Amino acid sequence: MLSFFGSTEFLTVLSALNTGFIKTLQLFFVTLVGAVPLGLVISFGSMSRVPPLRWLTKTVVWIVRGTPLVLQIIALYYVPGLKGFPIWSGGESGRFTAVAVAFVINYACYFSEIYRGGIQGVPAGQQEAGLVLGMTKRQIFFKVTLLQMIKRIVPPMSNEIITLVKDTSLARVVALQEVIWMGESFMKGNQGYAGLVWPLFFTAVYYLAFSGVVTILLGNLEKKLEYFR
Amino acid sequence: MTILEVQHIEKHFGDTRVLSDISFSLEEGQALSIIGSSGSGKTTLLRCLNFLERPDYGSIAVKGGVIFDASDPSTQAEKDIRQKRLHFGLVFQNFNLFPQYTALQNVTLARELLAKDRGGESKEAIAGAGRELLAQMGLADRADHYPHQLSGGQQQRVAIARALALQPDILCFDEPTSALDPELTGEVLRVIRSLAEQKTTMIIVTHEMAFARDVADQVIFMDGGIIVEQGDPREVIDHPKEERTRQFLFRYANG
Amino acid sequence: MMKRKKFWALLLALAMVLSLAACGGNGGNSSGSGDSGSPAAAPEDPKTDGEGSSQADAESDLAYIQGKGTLVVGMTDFAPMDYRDASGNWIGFDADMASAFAESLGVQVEFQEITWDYKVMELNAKSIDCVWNGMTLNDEVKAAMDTGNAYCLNAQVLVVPADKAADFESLTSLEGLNVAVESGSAGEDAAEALGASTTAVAKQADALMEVSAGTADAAVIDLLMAGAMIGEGTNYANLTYTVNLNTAQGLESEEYGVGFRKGSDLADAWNSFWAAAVADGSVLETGTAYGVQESLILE
Repeated sequence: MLSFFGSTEFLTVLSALNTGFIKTLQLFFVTLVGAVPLGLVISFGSMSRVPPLRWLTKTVVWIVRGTPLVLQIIALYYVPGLKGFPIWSGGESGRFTAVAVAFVINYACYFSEIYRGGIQGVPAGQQEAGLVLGMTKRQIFFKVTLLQMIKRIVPPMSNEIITLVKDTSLARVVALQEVIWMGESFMKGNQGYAGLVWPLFFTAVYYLAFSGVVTILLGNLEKKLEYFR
Repeated sequence: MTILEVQHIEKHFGDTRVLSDISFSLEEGQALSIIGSSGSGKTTLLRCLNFLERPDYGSIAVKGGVIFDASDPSTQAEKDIRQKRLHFGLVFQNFNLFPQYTALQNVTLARELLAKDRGGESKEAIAGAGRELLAQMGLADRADHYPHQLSGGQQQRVAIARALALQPDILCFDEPTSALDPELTGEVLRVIRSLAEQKTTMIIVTHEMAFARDVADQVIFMDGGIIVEQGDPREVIDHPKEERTRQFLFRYANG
Repeated sequence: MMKRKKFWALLLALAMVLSLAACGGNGGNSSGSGDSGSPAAAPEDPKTDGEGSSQADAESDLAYIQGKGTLVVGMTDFAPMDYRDASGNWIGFDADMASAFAESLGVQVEFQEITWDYKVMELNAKSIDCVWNGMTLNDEVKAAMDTGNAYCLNAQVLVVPADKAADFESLTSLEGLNVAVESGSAGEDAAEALGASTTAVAKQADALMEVSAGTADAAVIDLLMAGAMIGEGTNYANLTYTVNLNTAQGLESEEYGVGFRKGSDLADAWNSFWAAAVADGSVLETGTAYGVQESLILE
């Protein structure tokens, strides 16, 4: 049994899975870095006092949250080309960009609703206390509301982020070669190995390890924010 | 010297008129108490003074300068409001302390932000002044506690120190003891009383009749959005002239 | 009242957005309706049907490829046609010939793995320029793409444990046998036509594993796949293939071809290239290197 972990089969599969997992990680981090701030912008839009802007934002959020991410990826990648305006290159980098854009938009919409709940959950008295102390709206947001909002949104955001870890696997629909694609490739044939089923199931180890790390990090953040109520 | 002059304030929420023809003035160093049943418009009046609500009619002048006039848009410019608010301090019924800051940080935050905008005081000076204010409130040993670690009475005293830190011309209290357990109201009232003794100009919306009579220089009784009776607290509370005032005080004494 | 109007306006706008996207999806396929592709004749016919009209309506696809300088070949990992060598480069009979084709056009070759079900959409969205991956020329393929002439023959074969091969030698019926097949494949149809009770699995490789593990009596897979994946020197040295099910059913063999966009002039360019490569012997030479020489069409 132990000798298996030193076999060329194991090492070959492991190196392919590693390559795939790096793609998975890239997609994860690009999505997070893009969607966290974009979600805030969208949440401001959905709370805007300008009705057309509010409706527009809410409609976009409805469409994005109401349709499957996998469909959004397919549409975003193929539709421009089918309409005669190919904007993504056919290679790996074009696929990655298109998928990343789809993920950022999708997750930003989910985040925006969490933010909205977080912002509206901060009592109005906090805002008023800031106002009567002569603070600007900007100062109130960054110095008073933001941290309270973060405290409120950390648990729902943790859920969403762990879902993101796993959702990255949807990217393989447009042949982005993330870790599950790599795992599946050994069933059909890759680098001289075919009919191997274990690499597919072995990808679970990567997901478990990574979501474990994410859970610990977010748990720490939650603990750090326990100093106030 | 007259520090505050309020004239003919009127305020509507939709079709409901919550304030009508409110006029009064306040002398520097004096304490004004506003009494009346809930829904009488007392809190709305305080919120108008602090620019949390905008009156539909009337004007407000501080130290002889008009800071708000409903008929003159130039007095309502958004950019000046922040400055104008600083004439007033407001202590809320529910304290509204910032939970993520310690007692001291609650007191110093706004002053630090103002100093950053305008230059001036050092952080150390502001912190020193903040500690002094907390000591004055009897909270010297609670400076580094977070709000949730303090009792309601202590939180409200921090809130008073926070309002005082900006050295407002007029300090407003919106039912400062209503959210407190009865055994905790005393410590807050004692602090307000000592502020009155130091000739702090104050407007106190309160249900504590005895306190209003002892501490205030002037009392206003409001009902249904109008001022029913105003004058010397001993006169108004002990010998009300108006039937509505009598009824309110009777209900209060027996309620 | 006002609110209701806005709601309908919103709904209408949404419907338009959706239908726009749907048109995009159809647009690629709809041009295929003119092609009445008769399966027997089309691949043998040197003139591909899109040729005449293609020049008229759009810029030449060949010029487009040469303009950008790369030929993006859409494929999957499918030994011995397309697979990676130890250093990760794509090799195989199809991969090597695709490189030679790109070279003949004066452009770089770029291999792109695709999700097989999306091959037509990939072509039409121009994210790939051709599908070259041991693709069987069935009616669907011929309706959606312009294809080059058939270059390879394939058949369904019965894979059995090597030590029991003799028992299957002269079989004409699969009745009473439990046969593993790829779900939805030509092999499944063939096995069922010959009376086998089938176990459908996800991939051809899985079917091999069933036989190897003894959970199925036999498997039906592609001849090309069998040639590369079983026997001496492979993971399945204990397996061998015997009966050609196409022959057993009295059917023609399947043909492999390369797919291009509808109306593309690349199909013609490919036919010329291939004829020359057959003539100078490079097709046979490459085919022999990958063990597919038996299946090649050399005429």
